[in-house]
Amino acid sequence: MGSAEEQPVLKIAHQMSMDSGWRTDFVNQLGARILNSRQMRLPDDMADGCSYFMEVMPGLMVLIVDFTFHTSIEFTKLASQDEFCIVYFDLSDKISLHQVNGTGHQVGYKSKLGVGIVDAALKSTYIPAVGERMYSFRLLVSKALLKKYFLGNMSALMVERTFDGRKNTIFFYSHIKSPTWLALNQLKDTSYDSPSFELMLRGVTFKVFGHLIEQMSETGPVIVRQITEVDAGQVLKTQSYLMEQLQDNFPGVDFLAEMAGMSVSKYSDIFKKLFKYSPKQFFLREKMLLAQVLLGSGDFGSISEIAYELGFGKPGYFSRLYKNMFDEFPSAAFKIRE
Amino acid sequence: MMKIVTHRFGVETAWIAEMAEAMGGELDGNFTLVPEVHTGTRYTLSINEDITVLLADVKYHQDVLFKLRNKESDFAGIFFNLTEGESVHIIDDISRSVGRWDYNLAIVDAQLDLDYLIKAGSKSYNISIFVKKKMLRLYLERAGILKDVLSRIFDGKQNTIIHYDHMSSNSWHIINEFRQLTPGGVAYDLFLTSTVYYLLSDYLGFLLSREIIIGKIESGDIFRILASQSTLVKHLGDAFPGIAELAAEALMSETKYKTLYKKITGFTPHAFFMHNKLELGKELLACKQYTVAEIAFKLSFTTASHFTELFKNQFGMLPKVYVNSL
Repeated sequence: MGSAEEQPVLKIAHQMSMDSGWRTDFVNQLGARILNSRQMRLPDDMADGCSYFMEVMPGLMVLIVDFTFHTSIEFTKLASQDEFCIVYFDLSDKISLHQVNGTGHQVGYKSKLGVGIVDAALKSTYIPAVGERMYSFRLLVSKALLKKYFLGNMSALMVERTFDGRKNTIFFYSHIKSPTWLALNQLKDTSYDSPSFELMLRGVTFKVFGHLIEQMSETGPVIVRQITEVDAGQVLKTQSYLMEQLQDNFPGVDFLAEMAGMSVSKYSDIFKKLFKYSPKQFFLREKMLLAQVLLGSGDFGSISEIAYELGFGKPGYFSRLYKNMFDEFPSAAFKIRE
Repeated sequence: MMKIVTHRFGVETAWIAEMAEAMGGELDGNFTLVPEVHTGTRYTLSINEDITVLLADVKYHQDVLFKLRNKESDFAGIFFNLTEGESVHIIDDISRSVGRWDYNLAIVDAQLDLDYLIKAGSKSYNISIFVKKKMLRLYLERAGILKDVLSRIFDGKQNTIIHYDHMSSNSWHIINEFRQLTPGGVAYDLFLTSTVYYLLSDYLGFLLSREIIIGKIESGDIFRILASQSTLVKHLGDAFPGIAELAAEALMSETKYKTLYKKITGFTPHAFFMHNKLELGKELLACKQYTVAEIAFKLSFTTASHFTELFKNQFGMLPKVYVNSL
C-alpha cells in the first residue's frame, strides 16, 4: 500500500498529439507495446489494462486510459504545439472514502468534478493511485472543429478571439451529465476484444461529444474564457483544496485568495469565470451533491448523522439548505442503514 | 389514389435530390419536404465514405408505393422500421409485413428490387442505413462470423444479401432515445451519427449472440412470442402477469414458452419486463414531471426504495442522481 508521502518510482514526460505519434514516448521510456494499432499496453509489472486511441472524424480523436497501476508513476504531459483541447471524463468513483484502519472512521471525502476541458497548450502532471482501476475517457478536439460548432452561437469576432491560440487557453469544468455518464459506464463494462467494441466506441464518442457541444452552447461563450495559464493553475489548486474540505466549514474567500497568491477580487472573478459560481456557492453546491450521495448510500442511521458528517452543527439548517437546492427535504432521498 | 415513386438509394448522395423530385418535393439542407405525401421529418446524412443514413419520421397522407431500383450494387440497406400502421415489403412477389410488431429489421442487398407499400394514415418511423458491402464484410470478418453469416443471410446462389429479422430490445431503446430529440439542434447530426453506430454495433452483437437455431423455429411460434412481448410492453405499468398466464395466451406450455422466449429475445420474460419497466422509469424521470415515489407507484413497484435499488442495478446510478445531473 502506498502512502501520500511515497515518491513515484518512475517519471515520464510525454507529448500529446492529434496523431498517434505521442505513443512513441511511452514505448521508448516505459517499454509500452502497441497492439493492433489502437491499443497500448504497459509492461505487466507496471500496470494491467490498456489505452485505446482512435480517430472518429477529422479533428476528433478518442483516447481511453484504463489501467490499474502496480507501481507509482508520475506522468507529465508536456505543452503541445498543436491547436487542440483535451476533454477529460473521469469515471472513477465520484467519492472515495478513506478509512482509518481499525476504527472504520471516515476521515475524508474527496469529490471530483467529472468533466474538464483543458487546452493542450498546458503542461500538466498526474500521479495515478496504485492498485485502483483508473478509467479516463478523453476526447482530443481540434480548435478548428470546436470553432465550427460555435460559429452558430457566437459572433464571428468572438469566435476568432476565443480560439486564438496565441492569446487564450480554454477551460471548462463541470459534472458529467447523466446521459453521458450512462453511456460511458456501459462502455467501461464492454470488453476491448468484443467485435462490436469499435462500433460501440464510435457511437459513445459521437454521443458524448454531442452532449458536450450542447452543454457548452447552453452556457455559451461564458465557459470559454481568457485567463492566463498561471492564474488558472493557481485557482484550480484552491478548487481541489475545496473538494477535499467538504466535511468542514467554508474556509473563507480571504484564505483561498491568499492560497492562490492573488487579491480577493481577482481571485473571486477568475473562480467565477472558471466554475460559474462564487467559491462559497460552489462549495455549498458540492457539499449538497455529496449529501445527496450519502443520503442514498444506506451507510447512515439518521439524517442528523449525515448533517454532522458534513460539518453542520444544526441538522435543521442542513435540511433547509438541501431543500433550497433540490426542492425537497433530505428525508425524501434518505435510505436508512440496515 | 396511390402514388408511385421509383427511386434509388446509395452511400453516395446523388439519389437524395432525385428522390425528392420523384416524390414531388424539395430539399432544404438535409431535410426533404413533401407536404402533399407526408408531414414530419425526412432527413438524410452522409456519415462518411462508407455510410449514409435516411431518417423518416412521418405521417402519410396518401398510399405510396416506393419502387426501389438501385443503380449501384456496392452497398446494402439495413432498415430499422418502427412504423405503426400498414406497410409491406415486396421482393420477387413475396410480401412481408414490416413495422414495429412485425419484421422490424431487414438487411437487403442493393442488387435486389424492393417494393415498399405504405398506406395513408400510417405513422412511419424508419432509420435506413446504407453501408458499403466491403465495410460490412470487414466487420463480419473481424468478428469471425463472415462465413456463418454468409450462409445465413447471403443468398449463395445469387450472391445477394437478404434477411428479415426482429431488432433487439436494445436497438429499440437506442432508437426510442434518439426519437426524443428535436431535429435541427446544434448537435443533431452528432446524435444521429451516434445512433447509427450504436445500431450497427448492436446488430453485430446480435448476429454474434444469436444461435443459428433461430432459423429453425416455426414462424408461427416466433410471432406468438413477439405478440407476447408486445403485450408486456403495453402493460409496463402493471405487475408482472406471471409465466402461466403468458404461456396460456401464447398457446404454449410454460416450458416451451420460456425456452423460446429466451432464444428469440435473449431475455427471460421477467427480465425483459423489468428491463423495459426501468427504461420507462428513466424516461419518466427525464421529463421531470414526477417524483421517484410517483414513478415507482405508476410502475407498480411495491416500494420506492425497491425501484431505486433496481434502477441502480441496471444503470449504475441512483434515480435522484440521474435527475439532478440531466
